[in-house]
Amino acid sequence: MTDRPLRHGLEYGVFRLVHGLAGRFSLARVRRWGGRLGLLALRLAAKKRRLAMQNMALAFPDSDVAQRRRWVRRCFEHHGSHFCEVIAAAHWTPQQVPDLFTIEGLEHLQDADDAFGGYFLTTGHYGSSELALYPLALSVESLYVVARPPNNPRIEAAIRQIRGRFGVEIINKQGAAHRMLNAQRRGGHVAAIIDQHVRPSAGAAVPFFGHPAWTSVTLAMLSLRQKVPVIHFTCEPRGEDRYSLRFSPAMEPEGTGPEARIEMTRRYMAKVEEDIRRRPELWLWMHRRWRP
Amino acid sequence: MSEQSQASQDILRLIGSIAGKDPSTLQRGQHLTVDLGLDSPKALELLMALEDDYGIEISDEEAADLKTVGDILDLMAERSSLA
Repeated sequence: MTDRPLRHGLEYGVFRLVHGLAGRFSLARVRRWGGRLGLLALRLAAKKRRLAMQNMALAFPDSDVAQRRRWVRRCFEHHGSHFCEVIAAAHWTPQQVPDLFTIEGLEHLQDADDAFGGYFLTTGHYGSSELALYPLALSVESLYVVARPPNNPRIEAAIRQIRGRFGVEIINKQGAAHRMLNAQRRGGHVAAIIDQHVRPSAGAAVPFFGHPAWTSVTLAMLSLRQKVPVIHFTCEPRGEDRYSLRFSPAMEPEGTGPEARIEMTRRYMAKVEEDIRRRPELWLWMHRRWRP
Repeated sequence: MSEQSQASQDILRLIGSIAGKDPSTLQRGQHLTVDLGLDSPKALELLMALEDDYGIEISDEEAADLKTVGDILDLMAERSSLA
């Protein structure tokens, strides 16, 4: 039962509207419209805009203000597009997905399965990460994704249904750690995103763009414990209606104890940073990543 | 000291070492997160240590039910009685 029926009803109405429209038009058009929505948000969400500018100044101290403004504009545009594309993906079928994605590095998954008997997957809040679930689900046996369910229960149910059509199992982010362990034990492949701030008690300060950022060490703990590697993947929009999905070589677990966890987590974050440095506009800059 | 109370003491020592608390101060009713500060990584560390030390696997359902020190003692007692 929701405690915000009006707001949730309104949000669900917008969701259904975009969903309905997205089913009638091409993906290229949905992406363009989403971009315009993103630009509208850029004008209306002054706080988020300022936060994105501050974060970029911290991460790219040598960039000038004009460059950062261009990145922030494209960042809002990209995330507007991504939002609408995620809803449009509700209409995708497993048969369509291979045509939409160019995939590189798939052999790293098989190699890790052969050598270690499994692996974990990770990426950042970068590019088209949410859409990567669909080709992943078709490429990876028994895929679990750690996610925080949307606050709106009707949207949550709709998204769960969409993901379920592709066989993606969701592990609720709240209390996910031990469920991730059990899923991996059952032969599952678990994907988790760890590039957002966590409470200091829930992680470790790891360098990110040269500044300490509190980051979850759970993925590293599980990798070290299960002796399976972590594979970073990157999903980016390509052309006007396609995507590229790349898997990096496996990062094998090394060492033991708290120092090893931090070092492994640093390596995961370095991969996310590498992506962001290549295309800064694709990361979610409207998040207080460098909190004390 | 009975075998069961010795086992309980061992478990309390384990909880205390991970939570950074004196085991003799731990109470059955203490909440693992609220009272002992066993946040996500420490809770995971505790569950993994229990699994390693006692040669068991804790299911998702069992882990979800572990809220207090007493819940852990009860689960481990139940597991050892089934062994």
